[in-house]
Amino acid sequence: MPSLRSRLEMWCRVAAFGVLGWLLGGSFFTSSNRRIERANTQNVAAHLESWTRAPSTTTLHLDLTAVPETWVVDWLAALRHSNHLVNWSGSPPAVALVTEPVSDPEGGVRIDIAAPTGADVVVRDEGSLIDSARISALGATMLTPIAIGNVTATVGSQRVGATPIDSARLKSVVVIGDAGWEGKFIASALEERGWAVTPHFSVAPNVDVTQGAPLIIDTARVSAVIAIDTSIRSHAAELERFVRSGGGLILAGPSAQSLRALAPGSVGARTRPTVHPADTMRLGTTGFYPVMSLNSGGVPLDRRSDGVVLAARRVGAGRVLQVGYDDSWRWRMAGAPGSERAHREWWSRLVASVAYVPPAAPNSNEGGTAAPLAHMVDRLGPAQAAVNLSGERPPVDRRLLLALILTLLIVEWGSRRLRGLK
Amino acid sequence: MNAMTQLRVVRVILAIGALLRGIAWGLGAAFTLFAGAALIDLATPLSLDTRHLILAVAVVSAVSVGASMCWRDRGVLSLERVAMWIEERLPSLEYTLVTAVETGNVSYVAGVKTDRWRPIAIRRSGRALRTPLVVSVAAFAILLILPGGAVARMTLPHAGDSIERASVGGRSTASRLTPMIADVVPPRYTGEKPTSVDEPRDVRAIVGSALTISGRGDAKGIVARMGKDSVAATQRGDRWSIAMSVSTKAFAIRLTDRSFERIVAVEPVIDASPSVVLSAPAHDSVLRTPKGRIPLAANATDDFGVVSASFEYIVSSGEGETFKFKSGVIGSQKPTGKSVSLSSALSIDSLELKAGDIVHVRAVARDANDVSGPGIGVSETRTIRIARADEYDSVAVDAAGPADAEKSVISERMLIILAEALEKRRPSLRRDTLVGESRRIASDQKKLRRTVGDVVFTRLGGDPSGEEHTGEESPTRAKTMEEMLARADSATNQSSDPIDFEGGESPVVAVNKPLLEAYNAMWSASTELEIGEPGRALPHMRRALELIEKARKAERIYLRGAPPAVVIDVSRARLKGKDKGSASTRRALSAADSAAHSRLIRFANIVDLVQRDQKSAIDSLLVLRIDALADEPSFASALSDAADAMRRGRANEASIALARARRTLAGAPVARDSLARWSIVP
Amino acid sequence: MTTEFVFATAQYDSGDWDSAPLLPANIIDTIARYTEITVAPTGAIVPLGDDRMLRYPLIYMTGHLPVRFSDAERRNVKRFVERGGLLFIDDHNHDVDGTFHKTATEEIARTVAPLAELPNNHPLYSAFFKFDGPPTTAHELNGWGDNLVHKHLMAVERNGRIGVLYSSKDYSSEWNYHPDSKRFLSVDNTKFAVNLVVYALTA
Repeated sequence: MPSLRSRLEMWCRVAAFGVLGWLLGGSFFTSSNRRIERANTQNVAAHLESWTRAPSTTTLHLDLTAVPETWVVDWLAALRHSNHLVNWSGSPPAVALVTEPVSDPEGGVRIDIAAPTGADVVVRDEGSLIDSARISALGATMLTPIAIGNVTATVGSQRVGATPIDSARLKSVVVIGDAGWEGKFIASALEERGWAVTPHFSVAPNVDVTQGAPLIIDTARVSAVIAIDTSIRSHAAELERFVRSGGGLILAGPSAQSLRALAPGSVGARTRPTVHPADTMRLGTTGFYPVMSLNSGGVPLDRRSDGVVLAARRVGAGRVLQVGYDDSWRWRMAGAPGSERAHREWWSRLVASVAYVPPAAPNSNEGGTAAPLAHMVDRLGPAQAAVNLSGERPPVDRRLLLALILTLLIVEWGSRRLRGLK
Repeated sequence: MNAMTQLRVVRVILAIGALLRGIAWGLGAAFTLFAGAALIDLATPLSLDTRHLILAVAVVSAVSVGASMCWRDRGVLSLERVAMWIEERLPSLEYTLVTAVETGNVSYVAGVKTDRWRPIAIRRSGRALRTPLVVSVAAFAILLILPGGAVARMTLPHAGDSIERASVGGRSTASRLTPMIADVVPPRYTGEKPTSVDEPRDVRAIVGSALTISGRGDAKGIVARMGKDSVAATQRGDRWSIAMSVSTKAFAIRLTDRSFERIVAVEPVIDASPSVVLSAPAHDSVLRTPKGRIPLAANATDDFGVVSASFEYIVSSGEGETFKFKSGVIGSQKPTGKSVSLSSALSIDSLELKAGDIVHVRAVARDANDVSGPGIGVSETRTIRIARADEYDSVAVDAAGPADAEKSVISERMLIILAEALEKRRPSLRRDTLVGESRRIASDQKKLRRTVGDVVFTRLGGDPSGEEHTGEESPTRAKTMEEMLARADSATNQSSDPIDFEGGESPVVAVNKPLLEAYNAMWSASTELEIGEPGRALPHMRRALELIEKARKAERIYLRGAPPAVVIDVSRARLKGKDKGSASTRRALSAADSAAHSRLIRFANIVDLVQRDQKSAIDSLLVLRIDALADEPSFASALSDAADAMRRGRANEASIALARARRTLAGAPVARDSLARWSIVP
Repeated sequence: MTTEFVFATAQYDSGDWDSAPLLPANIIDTIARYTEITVAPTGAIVPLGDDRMLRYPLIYMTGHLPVRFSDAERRNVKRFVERGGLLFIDDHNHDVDGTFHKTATEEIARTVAPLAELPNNHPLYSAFFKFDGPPTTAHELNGWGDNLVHKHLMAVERNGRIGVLYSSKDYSSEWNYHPDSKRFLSVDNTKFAVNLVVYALTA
């Protein structure tokens, strides 16, 4: 009766030959099951070269916490096209970045970032950090006076980038109304900011103060029109055509009463709060015309205790802004230090928000860096389940098998020698 | 010489030897330190502070090494030790010398031979001196063979000695812009001392200072560019130099030597005007009576010194439409020093004030600035008013118009100006043109003369005409005028005294005497002008003006009450005007922030450059800093920090400074934590 | 607080600021006669040392006596001009050798900038009515003051716009009468004031 020991030796030998047979058989007969290669966000770039040489029966799987760089995704897409099975799993954050030049003579870049609520986003350019924010509602918006080089946003380990395009091509701004301080200081503020302004102030019957070429309101010459009082009614038809073709219109003070068809809302009675001699003038200190009952599509943008003071509306291809203030000039003249500059910037920003700007050609190469997850889904398909992908086992390292064979043989031989056998 | 005496001599010899040894070691230490530092300085320039430190260490080392050596050999001062030392060298003494020293009994060494003691001591001292002397001499020799200036930089370090540093190798292809110094000689009036800056990058100097930049080598080919101007270097001995004056505006100097370039930023320090504070009187006041003395006190300070200070006053007398003014200065001082206190008193009595008069008083100080003119600082003005008797009456009386006599001066001064101008142009005019223009002036002069004549005629009892005549004089009128002229002649020839009522004349005639003379003078002027002689008419015209001024000395008072409140019925007046205006064109304004915007663009380009060429980026930052110094000092300061950090290789600090510069210039970005509903980000 | 144009007269500490009390009403009447500008029926008096002076972007100032700004007045005048206001100063003495002129021009030079001659083709002179230069007044040669016809006004311009306008022509005397007296005049001598106001409201 063979002893336990000799049985053990026999089984070691059998097992060793069995594994050897499996190895030999595997090299002759290709398994119908695919070999799986895995990588993650950090090391996928390092694997690409070896994966390129791998047979097309290899499944390439990515476990992602963040979308890899665009070139890596493009490489994987190319492998996919060469019959490799490429798939991925994980929850990389859905982040996208868009930059747009601000329609302002002093330039500026508006940066919109889409990211999951609660995420912390850090935005920088090649000069320095721009700002950071915690997302409260699906994204963030930033306005920076200048962007140096490419703009990138980082959410966790996910990085997105965009290259801001050149500043917008701006045309003139028309300011129409009766001669008065508000018109004067609006025109001054915009000109000081760098806008080309075409004022049209009425002084007496058939006596106007103008500047530049005769007044023709169309998008070839004019980016936006500012109406400061109800005298705008004489231009109603012209303005409607202008706005519907993309022009911007700002209805300041009571002027919305004259253009009800375009205005975001109706005009309420002017509020007249008490102003004390010692009061510092701020925007709206002396009251304003509140925006009442919003028209269809009207959006309230700024609200004070006495009502909505700023509302907007899209009309055709253009935008209309209704501003309840009719004496913002007091803020500029009698406000706190810095009010002159603040008034200038405020009016410029209002105009920038509605100004007609000819559309610029989009940057076609930017899709990958600006919206990486979308880009990856587009190239590699949606995510798949992470583990135990059906029909596929992870391959066994052959070196381990060889090591196992050797170990078994050594154990068998050692046992026999210890027994005094050869 | 007995043994004890000889022993003492030996002690002295050994002591001198020890002292010399200590000194030699001290010198050796110092020379070695200097030589070593000078050799290091040749390879790598040592900063001024480091060289000061080396000098201090060398001195301290010399003293401490020397002192410690002397202390070590202090045994030579002890007779017993010296005796033992001799005993060691001469065992034949068999301790008799030591015993004699200890017991004081010289009989122990009576008869001892002492002739060998001194030579032994001298030899010993010489041997001890050998090593330190060798060290000192060797170090000294190294100092001697070092290039000129190298030793001076160690032994006498001072600002501006960097160009005395010898160059190693002396390659002709090396940049002549290194080493470089900037010498600043402030304007004399400031009393500030000249300074030198080694390897200048930023130089702050008072406006008007003489700035000289110099370096070693040939001046040929070295150019300095400041904006659009360029200056070539001049040769001064073995150095090149460029001299300029510091102006009120900051500027960057670009020095070029072939392909080498250096930038030096010059920041002017503006001499501020004196600051003057009037402490007394502390506020405006009203005096019931024009009596008393008002103390005046003020303080003036200046950054470089106040050279004159005083109080100025202006007295305004009169009311309604007629006022007289007189002004003066009191309490003048010519102080020295940066701060001065003034005090004086304003004597109300001496000003001869009357009710209703007003005195404005302020303190004024001047500094010694002779570059851009003396800076003048003034204090707030205090007003001292003498109350009127009817101060609190409320009588509303409309202002009366000027008396008729006043209007007689219409155009007399204008006519003088016209005549003077014509006389000036005379050499270039044809005779007929000259006569024509002269006659036109004559015609106006005649009108004036007639007006004066009307006034005088009226007062002398005739009917007032009240109107100017155009055209020829009527015979009736002329006759009347001739009569008046005759009276004027007789009246004016009688007396040239100013108005007075003595001598039996009626007040009317007395008042009109100057007018009569003026009338006469105008007549003479007209005559000259008619024949085309404006030059000869001028003295008469001036006399006429003088006399009319004299005639104005009649006192007149107009009562002014509370301003009437007039409310306009705007709707009734609306567009009732007969004339219509016309359309007008407004001029465009230029952008207010264009300088800031262009700086922002330049800044962005520089930041972009940092990655590619840091050295050029640093230079560009310096130039931008100079440009922004006057308007945006915070931005300029941040740029300076960034450039410094980049030079020192501190990338993190540089990033922070650049971010700070960006925010200072462009403002902080505006951020919202949600996507904006509209493209405004309020 | 209304948005209509209010004619403001400067009140300053050192002199007789109210020497032309009827001028504001006269100018208001003139503005109403020729234009449709919404104008307040009475003027306002604004102390230069009070921050409220900044609420009136056009301010008229005159007097006979020396002008010496206090620190508060200087600060406000500087801010006023920098922010776009227009300060119109008229020498009621019309005397370039006189104390008002010397002190007022010194104060303006110290506070804002030195005054320079305004060219006679400046847009101010064609802002509503057409003038070849500053209209001569009947008072310039009335025997008082310097007895000169001043051919130019003086101004400090800021960014292409007049910030301080200085006159030695004595418009204060010329315009200082009740508006009802206009019916006795063949020519309205206040028309230049319309140019001034229209320029201030549109430039």
